[in-house]
Amino acid sequence: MKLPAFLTALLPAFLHRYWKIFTRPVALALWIILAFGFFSGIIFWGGFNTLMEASNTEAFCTTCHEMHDNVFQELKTTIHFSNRSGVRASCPDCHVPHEWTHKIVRKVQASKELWGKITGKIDTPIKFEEHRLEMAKREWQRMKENDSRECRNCHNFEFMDFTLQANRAAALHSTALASGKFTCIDCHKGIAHRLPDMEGIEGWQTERAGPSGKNKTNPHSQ
Amino acid sequence: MNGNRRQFLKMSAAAAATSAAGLAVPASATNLIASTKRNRIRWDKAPCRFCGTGCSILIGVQDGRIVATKADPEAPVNRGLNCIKGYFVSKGIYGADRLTTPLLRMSNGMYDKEGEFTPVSWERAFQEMAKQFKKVLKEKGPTGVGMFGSGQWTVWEGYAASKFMKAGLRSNNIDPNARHCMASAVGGFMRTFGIDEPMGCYDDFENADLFVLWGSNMAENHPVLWTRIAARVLAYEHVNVEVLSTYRHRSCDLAKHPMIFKPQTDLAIGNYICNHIITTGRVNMDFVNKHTHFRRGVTDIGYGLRPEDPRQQKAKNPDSGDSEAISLEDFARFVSDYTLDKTAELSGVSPELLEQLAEGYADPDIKVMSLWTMGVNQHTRGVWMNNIINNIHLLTGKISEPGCGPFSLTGQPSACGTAREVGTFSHRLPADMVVANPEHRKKAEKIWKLPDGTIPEKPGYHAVLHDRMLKDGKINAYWVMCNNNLQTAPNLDQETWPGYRNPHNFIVVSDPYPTVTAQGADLILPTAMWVEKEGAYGNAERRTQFWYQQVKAPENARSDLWQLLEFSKYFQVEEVWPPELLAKAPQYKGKRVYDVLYENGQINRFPLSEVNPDRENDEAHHFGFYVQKGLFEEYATFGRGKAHDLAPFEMYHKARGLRWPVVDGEETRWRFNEEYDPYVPDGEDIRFYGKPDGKAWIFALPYEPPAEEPDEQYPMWLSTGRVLEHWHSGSMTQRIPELYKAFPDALLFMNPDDASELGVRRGSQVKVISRRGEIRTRVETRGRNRMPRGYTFIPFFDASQLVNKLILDATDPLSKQTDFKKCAVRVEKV
Amino acid sequence: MTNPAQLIVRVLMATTLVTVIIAFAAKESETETTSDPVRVESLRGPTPIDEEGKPPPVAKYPKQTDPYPMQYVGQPPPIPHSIRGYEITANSNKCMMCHSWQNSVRMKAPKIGISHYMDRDGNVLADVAPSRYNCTQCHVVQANAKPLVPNTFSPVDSLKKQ
Repeated sequence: MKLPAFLTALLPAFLHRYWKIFTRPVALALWIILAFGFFSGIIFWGGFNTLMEASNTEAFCTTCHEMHDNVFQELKTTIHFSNRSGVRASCPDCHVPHEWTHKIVRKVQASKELWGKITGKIDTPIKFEEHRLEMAKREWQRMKENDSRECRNCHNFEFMDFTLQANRAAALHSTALASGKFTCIDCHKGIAHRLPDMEGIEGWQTERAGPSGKNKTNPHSQ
Repeated sequence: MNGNRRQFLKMSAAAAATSAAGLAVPASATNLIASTKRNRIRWDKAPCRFCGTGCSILIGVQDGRIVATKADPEAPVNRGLNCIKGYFVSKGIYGADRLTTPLLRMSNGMYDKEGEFTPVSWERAFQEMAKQFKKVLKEKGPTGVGMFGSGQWTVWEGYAASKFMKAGLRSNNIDPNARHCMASAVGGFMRTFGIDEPMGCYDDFENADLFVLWGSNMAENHPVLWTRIAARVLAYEHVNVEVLSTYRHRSCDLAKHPMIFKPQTDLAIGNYICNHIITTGRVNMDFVNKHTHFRRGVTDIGYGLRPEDPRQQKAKNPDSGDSEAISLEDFARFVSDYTLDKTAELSGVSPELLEQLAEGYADPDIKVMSLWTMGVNQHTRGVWMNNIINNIHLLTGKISEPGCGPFSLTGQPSACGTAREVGTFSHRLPADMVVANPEHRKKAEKIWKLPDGTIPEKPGYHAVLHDRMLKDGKINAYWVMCNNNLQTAPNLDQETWPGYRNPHNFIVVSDPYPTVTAQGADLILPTAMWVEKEGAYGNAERRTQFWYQQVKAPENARSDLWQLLEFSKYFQVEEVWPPELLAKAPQYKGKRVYDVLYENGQINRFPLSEVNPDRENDEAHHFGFYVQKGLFEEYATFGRGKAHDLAPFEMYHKARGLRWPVVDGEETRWRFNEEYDPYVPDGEDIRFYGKPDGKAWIFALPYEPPAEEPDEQYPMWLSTGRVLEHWHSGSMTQRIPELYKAFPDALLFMNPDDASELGVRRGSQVKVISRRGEIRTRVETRGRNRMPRGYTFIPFFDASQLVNKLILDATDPLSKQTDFKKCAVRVEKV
Repeated sequence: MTNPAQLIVRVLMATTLVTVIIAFAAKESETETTSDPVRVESLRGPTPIDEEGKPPPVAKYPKQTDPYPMQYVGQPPPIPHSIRGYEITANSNKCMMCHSWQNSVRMKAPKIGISHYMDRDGNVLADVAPSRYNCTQCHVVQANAKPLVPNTFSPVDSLKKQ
């Protein structure tokens, strides 16, 4: 197809070239591909996002009985579920980053959890407890590394009014937290779920670690 | 120099005392406390007034008032540790509304059931009371009077009461509130071993590898014993605790995998464990062959309801405890029905947890202690469940040795010492004897120096029947002592309250405080409590403990012992015994019941000179002899030489309690075991000597459904029970500010999902409705108890929420103990 | 025959008219016939036994308050702050994060008593005794609730309220 003469005169030379290229019969196929790509991109992207969002809800998380029967029940009595103002956290609020790239990374990691689900890694109460520490440690580590990013989505240090906090909270928030030496998760482990065995976890002390330790033999046995 | 030094010492002592309490030392206080007199506190021991653990408390007295309490470091039970109730127990006697004078309902100076409570003298009170009792005795005979006693009575109070009723008024209608508490454990031990109470003791805690809690919440209800479990479980890798419960509570926090089962299915779980032991070849054949028999129990025994109740009429063998001999093979076949899958499905507990539990019992290298209280005892198949737990220990031979055995905990401080050992039940006599056995009656009459035929042979009405008979007008004169039955008994509106206010009935209530029951009485007698008298309690491990009177009771309050003995002075023998009985003992003619029963040459043989001169003893000084010692020594003759031996009286004032049988001054820690128990003949190793041939019985008993289950109309389960901070009906603990504030009002514990389905939430006011009535309370969806879907719990300590009115008055047909742990209710939003 | 329910309502109505306190009346009782009736009220208050009153609101426990005065030496101090969500289990003990000897100075919290380092047999241990794991067995929070009846217990002079 040729450009009308008056247009040829008006348009710069490089556009002539493109016009030629795009109007060649082979290039038409390219058009179609581009259009297809564009629309399927929209569909795929939309679908991907919809899927990601759908899998980012408490309803989805608790479809697995492992989550529903254990951690979700534990959450229900805590302040992150039921509290004065009714602002509450759902599973992904704490366990999935809100920012896109981090979210994708976390979602990719979650494929491992799917594998766990398929193989029944934690599908009984005993198995769940056996892995509670490992799972908790993974979350604590993630939060430690990202400076408790998911906590801070709601609890912004900048806007904390220490005068409204209990003295012991205010004292630590204004010093340990403010200095950046400590992050939320350092002190607030176990605020939403039952804790695993905390032996050896920094700041925690259990009697198991205490006096006689975990003796293998029982001196009282007769 | 010397003076300065002394002054310095005084001041540091003051500083130490006050800084320990976190107070600054004001200058004036230093001077005050430095005065030796003001700084001195007289310390003495007493067992705690509350639960059956039997912790020893040190009581600090100054100027006739208790000023301090601490845990007794020398006591083997608690070694310097108490629970929150124990630390504040002394304040329990100082509620501002103590009753201090008898109060009689009167109009125009005369007794009137519809009259108002009017202060009267003791004389006037007893005159009216005697008049009423005599009237009923004349019209209806001995079965028309009754007494409801207590596992909180001292040993001699229970003994005096039992003697007064069974031999004095010749009525077996005496029953203790312990009927609601551990009658099923008695039934279980008697049926399996032929002798009551656990064979082991608290020393088992330091020796067991595995603790199994059957429906018990020890962390709240036996906290000091729980510390002994914690000390083991937390310190030793190989020691574990398994918690079986119908909801999640504080004791679950020490268990790796708490097992939440559906109500009543404990029967199936127990049978599954037996099945597992047999099928995996872990029966201790040598032990079983030598020391046990197998029996098949009669089934379909009803629910202890009124005979006209359809559930009762449907039962094929109501109230039958019969059984027939079977073989181990028969037993194995019987329990083979309880497979892992079936049991898991029935109970709702995951199979892997059930199997793990069964393995703990089956593994010959694991020493197991089974512990239970109301979950097993307050059960329409409570005796069966006790039998089944005993079965497990017998099959494996894990019994009567350190760290092994079935151990029933008790709820009251002297449920064992008084209710069980003294035998204040309607069918019992001291030392496991029963009224139905002519030999036993004869023996009691001989010890009591009474003619043959004094004690009636027919067992009296048990606790639940008391209430029914009061309502039906069969009992018309009734004395309630040392308990708060209107608040605690089941089915208040339909069964209990109508009896108390039945115009034909005269109800006497002895209590230190104006309780709900006192409110429902016609005559209230103000009562001296705990260390306001000399006393003795027996705890769950057969330990008998004494205490001296520490302080005086307020004004005209008098102990139960004083009341019982004084009241017996108002009866001539001729008024209560038929002439033919009196003819057999003409020496008693013209005597008062008091003279015949208490000044009988035995009880009054210890003079006042034997009373501790440094302590008060109001009763001894009133009656003119060491009445507590006399009663104790007469009572002790029942058990001495009969495997219930008690030590001489004085030993108990010195020791921190002793565990019977005490033979030659030595207590017995593990009964039936030759190594520890002097009653086992040499060379016999183990002998269950409660049975004539020394062999215990293993019972084949099935799962049977409860009397009432949730349905469309009443879709939820309800259990009532206790919380750590309050004890029973709260008449003491609700008056101790620290305990009151720790848990002020009863709440309905329920699952958050159930709550949201009903449109209610934490704090919502709701009605809890059963077929027996309704109460109003508020919802709790979190806190210490985590309820599964469809299951609710309300503590019964709160006088403003009489929750036990919702409970069905169904009992175990054998033990007659009420099931407070399961009935059907509906929760409605208000 | 009168309905028992009506009967008791009548009795209670009659008794509540008179409000002489029992203790006062007790002193009078020695002179037999002159005593006035008294009101006998249990911890239910004026609600009749066969009726149910409105339950009070769920008690509120203070988020934080001053330490409570002690009644005697050796009394376990009540907890002057909220402990909602504190886990005390075989796995962990939240209280020890502040009140253990290791942490108490840093956390400016009172440290647990020396007795907590002793086992049953009186041996002093290197760390807190496992038997003491269950903090809330002795240490309890206190709701903002007014006691139903006063308690006349009085501590030794040195501990009386200044």
